[in-house]
Amino acid sequence: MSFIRQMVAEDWPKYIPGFLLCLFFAFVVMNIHHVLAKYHKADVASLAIPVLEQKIGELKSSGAPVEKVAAIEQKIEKHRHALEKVGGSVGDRWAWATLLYQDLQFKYVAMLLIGGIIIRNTIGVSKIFLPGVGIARPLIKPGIIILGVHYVWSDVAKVGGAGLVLTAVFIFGTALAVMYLCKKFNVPDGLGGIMGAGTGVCGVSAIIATAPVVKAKPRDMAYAIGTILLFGTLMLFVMPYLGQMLDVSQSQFGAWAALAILNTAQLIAAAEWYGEDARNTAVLINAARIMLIPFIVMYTVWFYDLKENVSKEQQGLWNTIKSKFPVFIIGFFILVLLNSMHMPFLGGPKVAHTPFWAMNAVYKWFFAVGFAGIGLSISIDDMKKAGGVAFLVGSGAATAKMVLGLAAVLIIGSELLKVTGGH
Amino acid sequence: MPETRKQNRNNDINDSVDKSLKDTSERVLSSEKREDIWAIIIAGIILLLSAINPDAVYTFFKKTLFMF
Repeated sequence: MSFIRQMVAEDWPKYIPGFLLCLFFAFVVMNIHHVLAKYHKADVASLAIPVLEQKIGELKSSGAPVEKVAAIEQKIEKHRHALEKVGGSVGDRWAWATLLYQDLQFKYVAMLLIGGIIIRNTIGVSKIFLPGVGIARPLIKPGIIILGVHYVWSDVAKVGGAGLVLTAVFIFGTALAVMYLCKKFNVPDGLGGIMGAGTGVCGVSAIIATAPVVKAKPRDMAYAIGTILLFGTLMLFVMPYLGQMLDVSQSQFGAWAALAILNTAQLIAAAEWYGEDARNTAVLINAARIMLIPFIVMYTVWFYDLKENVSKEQQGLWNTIKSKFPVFIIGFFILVLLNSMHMPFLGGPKVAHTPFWAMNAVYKWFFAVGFAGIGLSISIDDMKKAGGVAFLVGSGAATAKMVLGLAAVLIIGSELLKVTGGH
Repeated sequence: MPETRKQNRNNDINDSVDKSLKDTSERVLSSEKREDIWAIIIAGIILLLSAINPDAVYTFFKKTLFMF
């Protein structure tokens, strides 16, 4: 009974209106996305069917194998199905849908984030909705756990291993550089410490975890969180377009986003925007990254030589690791383990009528509600809280990490960062 | 004398700021743990529902929720 009481916030009714607003916003946007996707597919089908039919004619006349012809016929069937869904026929065009959905990448992630920011900063979000908007963002976590059905252990060992090395180098390198520069420019230890942890590892969570250790002031926390969120928001919109311009592959983009963007929700949003394979890689590398949070706290302690403070507060190494460990990631790895065991009754994300196939249909809805929460909570006034030398050092380090991260993933190549899902 | 009083008042303010920071970080950290456990519970419920009736879960999230 006391466990249930602990799990539910005492003032839970105040979260309901904002949460319902996020559900409604996500529902509307997902339906718009669905309509755009449907007409885009029909537009593609309308152009593809005559080309494929011509190809079949050529193959038949050249005496090509039956299987090859059958494969193309199957493709035509899929395209016809897409046309049927919008009641169209070959020759009809829906170029507007292709322009919005494919060329401008106007998908549910963009609509929720940009739409949310516009709503929050123009018509505004009433105070009654704000607490609930804040609790919608963590719904991305069950979505990440469910995504575990996309991976097998070989992916974790391959991509997660490469990701772990990359993130460890980048996290500790960035944190050390920021802390050193902050000390050099006489930024107070509290602000320098949380800025180093924030730009190095997992943004807001790392700032909150490190703040008591370096005795950061609330104003420092507001500055550091403002800087991290401002940078993350900028990158969230810039990186997908930069990635396309530089012709970065899906898996490379996923790794890049996981290294460069400092907030889990924002990096998942950027990677999902870029594509499914990008998201799969980003989720795995992010899992490796957030597991390093307890170590960044210990690292900050070592850097600022605050061992006495820590022992006074009875936070030994083990206690720190235990209290800062992101528990939800255990759920993700349990699903990876179950998927790796290839148990027939659980199936897989592409094996129809099985539990994992059904779960695969759910995660996008969790992401959508979470992204609605992010969009509606980005206030330009809050962003203005970032400032001073620490802001310059923090955003300089984050930019350097983004550029070096891109170079690292381009050198590593797509293959090592690609999630196979056992296929 | 007024100087000492001023210093005491500053110390009190610093103590209360420290306390408020500690309270905030403890509250946020514990809420983060709570979020993590809720995430595992929600994912567990989805797994259970998907194991009981995969077709119903699939149809609801892939078809029923899309009205247009």
